[in-house]
Amino acid sequence: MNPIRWDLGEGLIVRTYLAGDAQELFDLIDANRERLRPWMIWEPQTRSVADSLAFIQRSTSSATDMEGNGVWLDGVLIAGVGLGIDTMSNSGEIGYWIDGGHEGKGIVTRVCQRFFDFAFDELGLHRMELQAATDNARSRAIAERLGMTQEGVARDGIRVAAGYLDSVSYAILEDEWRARRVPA
Amino acid sequence: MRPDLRIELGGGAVLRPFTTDDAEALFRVIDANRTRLARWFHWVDDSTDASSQAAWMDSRSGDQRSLDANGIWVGDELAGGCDLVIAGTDDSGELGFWLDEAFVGRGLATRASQALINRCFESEGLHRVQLRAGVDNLRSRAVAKRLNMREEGVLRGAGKVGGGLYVDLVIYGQIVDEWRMTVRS
Repeated sequence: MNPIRWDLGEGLIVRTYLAGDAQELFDLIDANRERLRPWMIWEPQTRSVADSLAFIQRSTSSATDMEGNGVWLDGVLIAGVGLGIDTMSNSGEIGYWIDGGHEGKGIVTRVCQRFFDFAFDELGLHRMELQAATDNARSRAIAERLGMTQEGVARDGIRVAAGYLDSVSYAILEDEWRARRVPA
Repeated sequence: MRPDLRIELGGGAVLRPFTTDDAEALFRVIDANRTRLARWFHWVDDSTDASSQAAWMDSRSGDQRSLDANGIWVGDELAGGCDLVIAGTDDSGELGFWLDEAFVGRGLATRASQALINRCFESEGLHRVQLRAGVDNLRSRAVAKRLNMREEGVLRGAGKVGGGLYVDLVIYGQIVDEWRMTVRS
């Protein structure tokens, strides 16, 4: 897919990773290991800058998915967002993580809103999904702020370092997203 | 797909991957069932001739992890298809199947699905299998129940079907521990 670059204002930039971001990406993951480990299987799999570089190269070479995007605040990488696209069902799946020092400020929610606009307006998708572990209260709160509907729980649907976690499925449909954007 | 997969399903039925030699037979069966299948599967719209089926088989040959692109054969006759797609990092597989109308009601989808589930838990190291079926696709849902899969939710508009329409999908799941209990009983 073509790279993205969005200026969200207030110093926030969202853009597709470049190979030159590998060191900064690895350093941010390395600084957040304890927080990421309970939820993200890629945390223990990211052991060196080379692993981050491989992720960037793999994710940016996909013909359909846009898994490798970073969020910069005043020029400093603070979060990652991935968008997977299922062309068979014309739907997308979003995933995210953020540096511990920057959570609780609504940044991920704002970034996801921009991704949803992109997914529905520019990619023409029909549905956006989010999977969050049952106990990941912060992630689930973002899904709810985005107006997503909880649709079910895939038991043991997420593999993490410690084993398997139940995965809550959230989704929002194109018409629901459009209705939210228009003030009543 | 796994070119050397071959599982006897009993009663003269066999599950094995398609080869390009099967493209004509596959197209004929899909074409004869077009209206039925288009209610649940968007790929019916992509099936325009034998060469479109050969191209699909070719596109699946690069995925050597999944147990997919399999036909269910009764004698020399193609009765349907059954797939278990393995993708991602969650040790989870996705089951899918369809049947020619003449072969519905003989338990073929259940037997083929059970064979692939057994295989993925016994020797592929999977932890979970799921199946998504149209809310109104009662035959598919009955197969999920016969397989002792558990209903986990309804995914709204998650299934793209023929004619550019969308249907709600019921998601069913089975975890390896539950499968062991099922097989024992």
